[in-house]
Amino acid sequence: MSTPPALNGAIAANKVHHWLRAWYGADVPEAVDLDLVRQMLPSTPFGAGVREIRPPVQFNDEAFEGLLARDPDDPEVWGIAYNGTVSRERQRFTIAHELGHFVLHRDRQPRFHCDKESVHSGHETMRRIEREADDFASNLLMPGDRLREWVSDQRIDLHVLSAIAQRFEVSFEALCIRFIKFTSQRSILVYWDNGYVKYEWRSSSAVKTRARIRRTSDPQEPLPGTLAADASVVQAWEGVEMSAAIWCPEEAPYMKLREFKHSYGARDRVLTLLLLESAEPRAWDRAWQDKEISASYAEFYASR
Amino acid sequence: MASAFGSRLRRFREAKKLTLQQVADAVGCTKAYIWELEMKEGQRPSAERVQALAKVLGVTMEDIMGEPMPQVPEASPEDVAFFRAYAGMTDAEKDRVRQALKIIFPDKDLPEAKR
Repeated sequence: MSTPPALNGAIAANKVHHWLRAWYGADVPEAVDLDLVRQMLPSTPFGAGVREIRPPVQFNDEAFEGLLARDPDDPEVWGIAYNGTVSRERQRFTIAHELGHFVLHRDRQPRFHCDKESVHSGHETMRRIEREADDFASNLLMPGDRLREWVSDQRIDLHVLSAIAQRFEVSFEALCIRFIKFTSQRSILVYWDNGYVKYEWRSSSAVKTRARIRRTSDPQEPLPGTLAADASVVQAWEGVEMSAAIWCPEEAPYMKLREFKHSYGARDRVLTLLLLESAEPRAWDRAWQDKEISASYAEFYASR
Repeated sequence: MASAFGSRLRRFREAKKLTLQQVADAVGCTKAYIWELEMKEGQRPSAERVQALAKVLGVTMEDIMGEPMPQVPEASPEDVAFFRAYAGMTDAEKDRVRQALKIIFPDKDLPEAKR
């Protein structure tokens, strides 16, 4: 048994961009053409042993997101189905996600199999491969070099992030998550679902400097004094400046942050973006300033 | 990460267009508790509670409980590679995966889902 190469979603997506640039010459379109990627993959090293990935087909079912499948009679042919009832941006993300499974997992995991003893570990494996496919989709649709070019030298607010989402033809939420994973600024993104925290993402510098939101209850609700807790504020795309300690108890009292808020129409879901000021060195912990230690921190978090 | 039970509960609630608060009021518990049932793993609601939930959502207790988890991942033949949110699938949803497969490969004679 040969050892598979160490490939993750970001590396694989970068490789695909490399091929796209070779295909287009200089002018790669801002919004990635997933149909081109699909047709190209079988002729690349990522498509070894595959003759064709069929054009994605719609399967409209409320409980359905996407599916990658092999032709039962022809191991060289694969196909993708996606839910066509959701927004076009989300359809694109689903198709990119399934292409991620194709590149990263089709040989490793030809089928789901969890025996009775390893149910939990089995589901953990599934969560991991879902994350990898999401990373692939995210990096494929929102390449880092272009994102860097578009966010640098710019005061970030939700107008800027929304405009970038439109150029990439991805959802606002997908762009915000990508921004958090990408930015060097200390920032935190919280997704509220029916008034409780569903997901929380922190940028790597926020992790390194131990910026975290205050926990008071389980499930966690927004704290008094925040825009997130203020039902009269529906959108705050320009952001509002406030003391960082309102959100993050470990921050010094004079530190500031900007809180941004986006509410989704009918669905009782809210995105909160917090942009923090840079942390000052703390006498008891200067580790975050040290480049080498930061690198191992990043590895530690990446490996979790 | 939601359990399969939680995913189903949420889907039934959203299909009925009920809020957490409405379901909580109807079964006599807090909004936070319904949210935890939907979103957190390892929740163990009582049979009475599940019965009350089923009544509010207009489904059977079996619909909400589904199969015991250890049997869920087993129904996957070599033709299915990846299905988003697979862990929460019920028999009916496995049937839908079969249908999706038929749409991708219309010329194939695929077996029906195992019952």
